[in-house]
Formats: sequence, structure tokens, C-alpha cells
Amino acid sequence: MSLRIIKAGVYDSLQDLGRSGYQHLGVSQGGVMDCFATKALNLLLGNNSNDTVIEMSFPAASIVFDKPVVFAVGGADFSATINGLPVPVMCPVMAGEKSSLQFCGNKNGGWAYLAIRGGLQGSPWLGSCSTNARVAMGGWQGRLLKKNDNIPYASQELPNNFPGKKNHIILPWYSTLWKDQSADDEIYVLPGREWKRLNSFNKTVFTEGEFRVSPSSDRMGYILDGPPVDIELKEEMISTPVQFGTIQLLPGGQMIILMADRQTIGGYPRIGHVISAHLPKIAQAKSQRIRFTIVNMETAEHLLLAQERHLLQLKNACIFKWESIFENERKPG
Amino acid sequence: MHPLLPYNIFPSGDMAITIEFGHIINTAVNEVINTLYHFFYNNPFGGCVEVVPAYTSITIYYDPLVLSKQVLNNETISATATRKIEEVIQAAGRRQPQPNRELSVPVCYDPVFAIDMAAIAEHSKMNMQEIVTLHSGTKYRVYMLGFLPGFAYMGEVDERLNLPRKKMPQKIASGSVGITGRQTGIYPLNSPGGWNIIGRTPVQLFETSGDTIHTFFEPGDIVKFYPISKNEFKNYKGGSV
Repeated sequence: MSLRIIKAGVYDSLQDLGRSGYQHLGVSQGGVMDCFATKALNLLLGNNSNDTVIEMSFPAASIVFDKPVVFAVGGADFSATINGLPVPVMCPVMAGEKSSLQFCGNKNGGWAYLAIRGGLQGSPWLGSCSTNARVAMGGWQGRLLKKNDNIPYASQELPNNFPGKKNHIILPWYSTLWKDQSADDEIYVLPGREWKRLNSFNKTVFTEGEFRVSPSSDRMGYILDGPPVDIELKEEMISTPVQFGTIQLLPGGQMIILMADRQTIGGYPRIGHVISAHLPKIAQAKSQRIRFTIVNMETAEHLLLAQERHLLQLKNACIFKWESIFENERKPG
Repeated sequence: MHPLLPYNIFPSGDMAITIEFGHIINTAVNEVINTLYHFFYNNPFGGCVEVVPAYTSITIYYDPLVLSKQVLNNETISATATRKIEEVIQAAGRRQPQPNRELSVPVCYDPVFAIDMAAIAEHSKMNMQEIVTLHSGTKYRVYMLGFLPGFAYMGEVDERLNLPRKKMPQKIASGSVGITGRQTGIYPLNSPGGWNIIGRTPVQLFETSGDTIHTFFEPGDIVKFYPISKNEFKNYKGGSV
């Protein structure tokens, strides 16, 4: 069973939650930009949260499923349609063979995901199916998806009421968005190693300034347009390992937030780190205005654990939903 | 045992802790880092995801969900991770440095490959022969791997070959040997890059299959380059990973 790319998108790739354990050899972690959406979509389908998905930016690919499929789309809302009818985000859909999935407009967000019940089958590299396009390994032949690619997915037990050819049923459960007390454009940041080296004026520029994620940003880093931040360092910076969410200050006063495909090592001043719970939020803020709030470690960890609890509840609820679908059918009479 | 050298330990976000041994790149500091790295690698604490050594620092990535179950007295998970890491540092104590491998690496300095040789000559006021003698006459230490699989940051390049990074990154061929500042390194893949290209090696810098990867260099290696001709480059056979 496979899905076929009928029309290629601009930057579509197979991804999972990334590869760890090889950064000391210079291998980037990679993985999805929005891990919350990816995990939630997989859990909605009864998958493991690390199952392989397609990550898309807009315009996204057009896809046809050759055989019956259960899928969900989410993250960014690209106005998905199945066989010409709209599909809600974060909601499992059963679709019959020859169903066609299209993305008609970018309502919000930067990265949309397509998850398939059973997971997509790419070529794993070093324990992950994330695409590393530089090394040309992992994902689908180590590259972005192209027209006529046929990506296999596992065949699976289907409910009896499965829709026929070019038909679909939207299943009656979905995932709510996870929200915290922050405003929509507000990104929480932990101070980085060189934060203390900013004078009070430049700290204020950082916390009061309005920044825009430059449209030229990509999976490696988000460049911020906005007021320049200045730092005076007497000593030369020595390169250190850098993280997803590290905010580096470039020589001209511009900042860059390192993202999923960042290099392992970086040599610019580290102003801050976007808290892990806000990485999905910043990932989806492509081309949008944002502002930063400095928070403490307690807040960062509290939100991260709250997000994980939300996913755990979703997981348990969805396992129950899938079990009850099949159990009802097995009842005699 | 007492810790090896004075260090700072601080969070790098909410999933990583960095141990930093000052701001001076030298062999002694880097040897401590390499030794400590191997100790961490062989004695990971529960929740440790990966350990990445650099010039003067090591960063330890941890899984906050695993460590959240080991939090004491309302401390943060980050504080728990710091405590665990300091325990490992104490247990490591003073150790014998890892033995260093000595590697000889062939480099063809012909201008066909050394696309920035003219710029290097102009900047250093030396001719090509002098530049080759200087670059291949120095023993370098591999301080760390990063940037691309198997890319080794080596130092220290002679002060006379201290060139700034190029303003605009350009397309660089796999195997190209570059210099910038007091560093030298080899691009393991075709890649954009900003270092000044002084030659090319026929050595393959990493080999990988689905579930393994081997790099030619490791941190701590002592490296010496030897010049080869274009013909020797073409006919080079050995020296894979």
C-alpha cells in the first residue's frame, strides 16, 4: 500500500522526532519542526508518537492513496481537502482507495503534517527516518519528495464500515490545541550563556522589541527582522554545541533561532533558548511577528511537563477509541 | 578525586547542560574534555541522551521526562541533571588522557583543487611552495567534530596562514581542505562553506550505512598532512575509514 505524490510541494520531506546519539560525529539531530503536532497526529491514529510523517510547507504536495487509508493532517492549517471536500485539522479520517488529498490555502502556520495510521515507511538512517538532505540519507532516498514518489505504508486492520472508492468518513474525535497563558505572539525564552553580557538597553530591545520571522527562514534557522541587539564581547567566542531553539546573535545585530536542521556546533553569542514547550509555537510562526519574554527554568519545565501530560491523555483516549471501534464489530449479532 | 580543572556548569535551555573549561583553546583543556567525554560515554546516567564534546566545553543532552522522576526537594529537573553530571565528573576524577592516534593524510595542493591558493598567497605574502611547506609541516590536533559528519576542527595553523573566513560562503567540493583563523578542516561532502581552500584529500572522511557511521577522524587525533601530486591523487586507493 502506498501514497503517490501527484504534484510536488515546495519543501516536503519524511520526518520523525529526529536522531540522537550522533552529534559528536557532526550528524545533525534533524526531525520535525513541530514535534507537538507530530506526536498528537500520530497518537490520534493509534500510532507511536515517533512514527514517520510527511512534513510540508505551503504550497504542499497533492497526494493520492492507492489503497484504503486512515490519516490525519495538522500543525499548520493548509485547508486540506479529501476528494474535494474539506478535512478538519487534528482529526482522523478514513478514506477509500484512490482518494485524493490536496492542500488549498495557507490559513495559518508554517509546517503542516500528514500522518498515516501504521506510519510511513521510509529508509531509516542511524535510528531515524528524518530526511538529512545534506548527507542525502534518511527519509525518502535522502531527499525532498518529488512527483511520482510512491511512499509505502503498512497495511492494517480496517473497520467493516470502511468507505468505498473515493469516499471518506471523518472520525468523531480530535485533538484540541495545547495552550498556556502566553499571548499568541509571545515566545518564552530562557537566558543563554551570553545574556548577562547584554547591557540593560539591549536587554530591553530584546524583551520589548517586536521581531518578525523572516520569510527566508528555513529548517536550519529562523532569521529575525527587527531592531538590532548589540553585544560587547572582549574575548573571541569559541564554538560550542548548539540546541534547537538557541537564539544566536549575528555580528550585524540580527538574531537567528536555530531550528531542527541546525548544525551541531555554533560560534555566535547565545542570547537565549526558546523553551522546549514553545518550539512548536515558534516553528509555526514563519513570517509572523513575535516578541520574547524571559522566563525561569521552573516555568519552562512546568509547561513542558504539562504539554507531555496533555499528550499522554490524548494517547490513552485514542487507544480506547480504536479499541472500541474494533470491539463493537466483533460483538456477535 | 578532585575535579580535573576549574569549570563552569550551566543550562543550555531546558534539555541540555554545558560544562565549560574556560575560554582558551589548548591541548591540555581539550584532553580533559576528551577524557571526560569518554567517561560519560561509558558511564551514562539514566536520562542522558547524548554527550557532545567541543573545543573547551562538553554539552550533555538529557530527557527531562526521565529525570523528572528523580527530582529531589522541589529542585528543577535542570538542577537534577546538573547534580547527576557533577557526580559523573567527580567519579571521573583525574584520569590518564586517552591515547592519541597519529594520522598521516595526503593532500594535493595543486591549484586545480586549491581554489583559494592565490588569495592565501596574497594575504600571507608567501609563494605556493612556502604555503604548502607551512601547512604540511605542522602537526595538528583534532579538537572536535561538527558541522558535517566527520568534519574535524583541527589546530593550530601557523599564524602566517591566519586568514579570515570568506565573506560569502561558496560551493565547496568534498575532500577540500580549508583554513580559517588558526583552524584547518576538511569538507567531508560537497557543501557550502566559508573557509579558504588550500588543497584536497582523496581520503574518504566518513562511511555510513543504514545503522552505522564511522568517521576517519576522532577528537584527540594528531594529524599531519603530506603533499601529493595530481596523479597520486587520481590513483589514490587506500585510506578509507
